Amino acid sequence: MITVKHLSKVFDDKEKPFMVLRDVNCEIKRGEVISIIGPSGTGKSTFLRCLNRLETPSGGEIIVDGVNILDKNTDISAVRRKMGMVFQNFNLFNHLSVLENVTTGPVKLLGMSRAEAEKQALELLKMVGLAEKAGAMPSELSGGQKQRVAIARCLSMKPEIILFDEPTSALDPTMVGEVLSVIRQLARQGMTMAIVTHEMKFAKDVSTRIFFMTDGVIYEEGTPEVIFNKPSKVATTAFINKIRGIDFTLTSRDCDFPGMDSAIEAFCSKYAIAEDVSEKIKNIVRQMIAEIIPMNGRVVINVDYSEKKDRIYISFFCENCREAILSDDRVATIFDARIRPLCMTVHDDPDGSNRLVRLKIGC
Amino acid sequence: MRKITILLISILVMVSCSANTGRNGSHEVTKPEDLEGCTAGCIAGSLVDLNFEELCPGAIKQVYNNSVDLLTALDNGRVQFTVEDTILVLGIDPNLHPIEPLCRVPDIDGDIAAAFRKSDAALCARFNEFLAGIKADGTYGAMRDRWISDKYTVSEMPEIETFTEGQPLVVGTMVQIPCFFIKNGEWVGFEAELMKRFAAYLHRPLEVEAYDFSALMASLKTGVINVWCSFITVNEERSKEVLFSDPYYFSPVMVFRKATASQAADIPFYKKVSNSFNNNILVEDRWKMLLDGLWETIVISFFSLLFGSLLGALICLLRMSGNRFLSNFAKVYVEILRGVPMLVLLMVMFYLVLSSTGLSGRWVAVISFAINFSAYACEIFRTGIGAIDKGQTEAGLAMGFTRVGTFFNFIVPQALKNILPVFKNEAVSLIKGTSIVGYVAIQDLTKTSDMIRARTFDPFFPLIIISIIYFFLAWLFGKALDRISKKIA
Repeated sequence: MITVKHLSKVFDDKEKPFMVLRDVNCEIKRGEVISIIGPSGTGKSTFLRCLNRLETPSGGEIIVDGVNILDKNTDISAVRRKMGMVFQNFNLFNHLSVLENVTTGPVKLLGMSRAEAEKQALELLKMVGLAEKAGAMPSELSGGQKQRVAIARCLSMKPEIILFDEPTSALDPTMVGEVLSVIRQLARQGMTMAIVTHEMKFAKDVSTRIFFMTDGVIYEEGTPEVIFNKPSKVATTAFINKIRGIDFTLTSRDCDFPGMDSAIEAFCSKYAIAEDVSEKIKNIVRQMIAEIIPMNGRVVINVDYSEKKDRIYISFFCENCREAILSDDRVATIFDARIRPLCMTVHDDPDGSNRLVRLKIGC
Repeated sequence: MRKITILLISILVMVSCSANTGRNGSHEVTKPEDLEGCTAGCIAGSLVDLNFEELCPGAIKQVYNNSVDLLTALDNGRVQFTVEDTILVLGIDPNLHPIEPLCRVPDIDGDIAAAFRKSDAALCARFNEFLAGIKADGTYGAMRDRWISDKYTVSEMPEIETFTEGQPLVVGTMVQIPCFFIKNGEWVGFEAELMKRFAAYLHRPLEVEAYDFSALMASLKTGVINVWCSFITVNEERSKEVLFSDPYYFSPVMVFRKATASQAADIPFYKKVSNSFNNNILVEDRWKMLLDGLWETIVISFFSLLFGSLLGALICLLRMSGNRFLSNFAKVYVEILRGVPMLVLLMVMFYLVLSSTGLSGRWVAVISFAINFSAYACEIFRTGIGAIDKGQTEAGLAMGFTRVGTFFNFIVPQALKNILPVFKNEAVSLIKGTSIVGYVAIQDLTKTSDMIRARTFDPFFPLIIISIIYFFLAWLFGKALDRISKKIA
């Protein structure tokens, strides 16, 4: 149904173009439920948004039912009618009631009569469990309810495929379940879906296939069985082992240290990591930013916790800074004196990408 | 509402009454030099204004736009003396505003003549021919007797033939008793009759446009008017710029002072108000003039708002378009227009940019106000639209709406809610802002009140009336917009 070939996407940041997608190839068949997983900032959402051209790809091909949608002459609105999308932030139309949110599309785009559209809308709302909220305004709903209305709105257009862009990321943990169960129900009914998600258990249960994305490519794909239990590649294994993590993106040394500290503390307390380890993490992150990393571009810091092995991994990613650091003796001295003693192992980048270093700390 | 109105009137009247105390230059004045150290008022652009330092060395000059404002300044003591043409005080009712002449200013007074463009010598020659004619057949003498006398009177205009076909003769003047003023909705006065007869002599229709004195030179030179006839004294400086006809009058310039008090003080307050109302609104159907002025204000406001909003939407579109060139153009457009004072823009449009198009003042004003308003409207629209979450657009697009469809179905209804309150403010300030169109001879509400003031020499009452009318206009408009926004919400 959808074939993607050599898809690439560069964000035109004024000073430094940033390549989010490098070379994405895949095929999605009718009836499949695909979950797209991977670390943050690796282009999962961008990839999904390219599929209905909310982002314009920089190169490659996307063919939907035999039509290349990157062709300028393609009627993209017509293609989008077949592809529903559910957003992280719900994006219900705030000025319309729940019912109107679900009827506007069919009436204005599918030529349905108002009565017919309302009948269908009530059925869909009933399906997502919100029939009694038909007259409410979006502002009166909880996050979980909003997302379920968004799914109903999406279904009202009778799409052939639905793209879910992190549908539960903006929800309170208590509301995640209600949304996931609606998606599960759709999966049972045989709806074709592509879901970007961080809910690993859900992805494992519901999907027919998993795409593991990292660094702008689909690094590994396979059935949930394969990806979660016996992944064949290093990075996939690492990701599956340490799926719990937080990360920070910095562009200068003047960053929000108190904010980072409290995020790290919250993260540690969530997984019952000892306080001295948490102090150690904060210490390392601060020193790396202050002394080691040259701030000449975007820097991503990733703190991951692997429950299986009871280890913390801190990874530093930066663009074009490996050379500068490796050739600077002073930096190496500081690193050896202050950082290295705090770590179990220091793992220089194995994959040749722009990861600078990975530090392992025992708990 | 009624209470508020009454409160408003009484506050304004009280303010106007309390201003009536002041100083008086009580020493003897026999020559202009005696004004040294005193405050003296004159009319902007008059020869007294231009040569004040030589005429009255050491005196402090205050400049006013017309003889009513000058008289008011004398009345409430802002100036101790006025220096002006004697003819300018002829229409003043000595019972209401007693003034006394003190001495002549010999270096300055002189012949009064009409002014023409240098390139328009033929018309000037016709005027001289015409003037010689009426002087010879006694018409001129009758006119002088009719309009210019020592006593405070206002005469009737005689029947004069009028023409409706052909190129109109456009006369620029300043509203001033007894030269050019309005009675029963008609232009009357000494110069009014002169010009009416001249137009009849030429077999052309007559058009009269009323400006401030200081704006008349520019209007003549840019060709907005054909004849400048507002009791101008011939002098060398002016002769370099314009072509003067033969003189039709000789007027001495004199120094005036407020005469000792009248009996006006013991009239009760309500009587004063009702007298003023009668004088300024009812007599000679002056309310009809006000209504016409109000209509003009409404027309200009309405079309300026309409075109301004449309243009603003267009500029907003350019500003938000992806095209760098268009968006920068819109940005510069907005920046420039927000930096230019409205009056300056109006003048530039009237005298320079649109002067050759022959567009009437009303439409020049509409265009100028629309352009000015569009800059503000653009910013209002832009911020209103910008405040809408990008996700709303994405949701619309993802459903399969086109960009335009998304914009009108989902963005506009939400943006309007943000836009309308700010838009209302800006629109009301536009309505009030139209009060400056009198500068380009449009008889809007403010200008008609000025004309009534020039006629009745009542400095405040017409102003109070029009401020109340403006208030209601703005208030009604605001209510209407509130209604619309409630409907949308």
